[in-house]
Amino acid sequence: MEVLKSKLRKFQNYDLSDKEINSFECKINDELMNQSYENYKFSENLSTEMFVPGYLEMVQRKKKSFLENLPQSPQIKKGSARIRSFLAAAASLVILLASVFMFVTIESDVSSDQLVSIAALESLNLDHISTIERGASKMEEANDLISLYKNGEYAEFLALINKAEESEMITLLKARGHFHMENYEESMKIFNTFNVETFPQRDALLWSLIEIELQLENMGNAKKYLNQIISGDYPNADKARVILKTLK
Amino acid sequence: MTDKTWESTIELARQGNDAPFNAFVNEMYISRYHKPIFKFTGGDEALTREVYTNAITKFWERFILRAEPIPQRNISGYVFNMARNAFIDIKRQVKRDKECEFFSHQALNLARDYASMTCDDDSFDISPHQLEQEDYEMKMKLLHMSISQLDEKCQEIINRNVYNGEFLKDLKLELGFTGTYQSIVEKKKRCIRRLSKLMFKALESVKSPSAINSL
Repeated sequence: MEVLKSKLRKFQNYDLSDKEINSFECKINDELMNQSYENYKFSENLSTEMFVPGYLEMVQRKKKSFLENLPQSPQIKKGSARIRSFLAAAASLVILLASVFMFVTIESDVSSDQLVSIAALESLNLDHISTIERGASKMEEANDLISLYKNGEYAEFLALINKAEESEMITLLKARGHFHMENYEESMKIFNTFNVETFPQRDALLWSLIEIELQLENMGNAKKYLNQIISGDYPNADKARVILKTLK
Repeated sequence: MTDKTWESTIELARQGNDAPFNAFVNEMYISRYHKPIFKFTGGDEALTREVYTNAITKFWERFILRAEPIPQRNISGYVFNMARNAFIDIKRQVKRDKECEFFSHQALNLARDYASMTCDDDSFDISPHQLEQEDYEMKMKLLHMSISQLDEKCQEIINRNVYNGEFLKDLKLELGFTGTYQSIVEKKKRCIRRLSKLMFKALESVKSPSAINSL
């Protein structure tokens, strides 16, 4: 449910990534899932309206004004459109070939550890953690924490985090902060408090676990989590496959 | 360059000057977004406009109205991604025969009724009379149930501030808030957030019609 809720929240904010949209689209066709989304949206709208009466109307009015003022689309000339489509197709082919060539080169230059770090960082979606916190002061607090984390100021980050009210994602960052400070024991202690099955952003937790297990050379555990990323078809599952191959 | 314009117009809009942002989103519609959105909507002009409008409204709501941090990555690409989300949302809504719209109006009316406010705005297509009474009553019951599950202070704040319309500054000392005025505002935010979670949980637990009847 928690995993689902984080997706529902993202969808309500129109914040699902390209990959997530495709898998979410299939799920949203399921009636129960769709109902869950309606329930989520309903409870969010209700509480927003209770907190700021008139909020929904204000958004509706703005939408109406955007729509009314939107200019008419330009006429697309069919002939030139055809030529442009042809050119676009040719350019796409060249880019595709170039990217395949570059991908092979880059992948071979990057170690498994680096790949894991990249995937772990991507899965955290740092830019959006603060938006999970409703309310200006909460968001500000989360923003301060995240900018410290992004700048690699882990000691200050950990000092500040102890004063903050922690959400699951902030606690995950705390565990990662200890990891970066090489306090592996403290980091593992926090990781052990998480339930992988119910964690809101499961892939972020899994990638962080992979990172620390590789650091501690617990290959068995790292492989187990990599397999979970692959079987769950989470973002960066392709990287997990590459890393798994190098571990075998 | 485009991202810089996004950022500067957002900044101006946050300060209350909407015009540059509005002009910029219109310009971007013609120069950048119309064609790709037109493509994925299958060449439907009206749908293209609706998708873009929904995406931009959400963008405005999040980054101007709520002042969420602006995405660090390519903002133009981010808007396009929001349009894809908006398209899925519209497809979903069409499938549900405008049920989604109905629910959104119902949430508004429920919140208003709870706060004993009258609904005299005729800007919506669906009037309260069209709402399904049974479903509406069920949700009102769930709202009361959810409120009763909150802690005592939250119940006091919601009932007296939202329901009775008493001012938070008057409730502050009476409810034992010794800190600044902001402390009770923050408490109210937390209460409403918890209420939202409880309401979602309650709605999820009554998905089946039999459960609704047993309420």
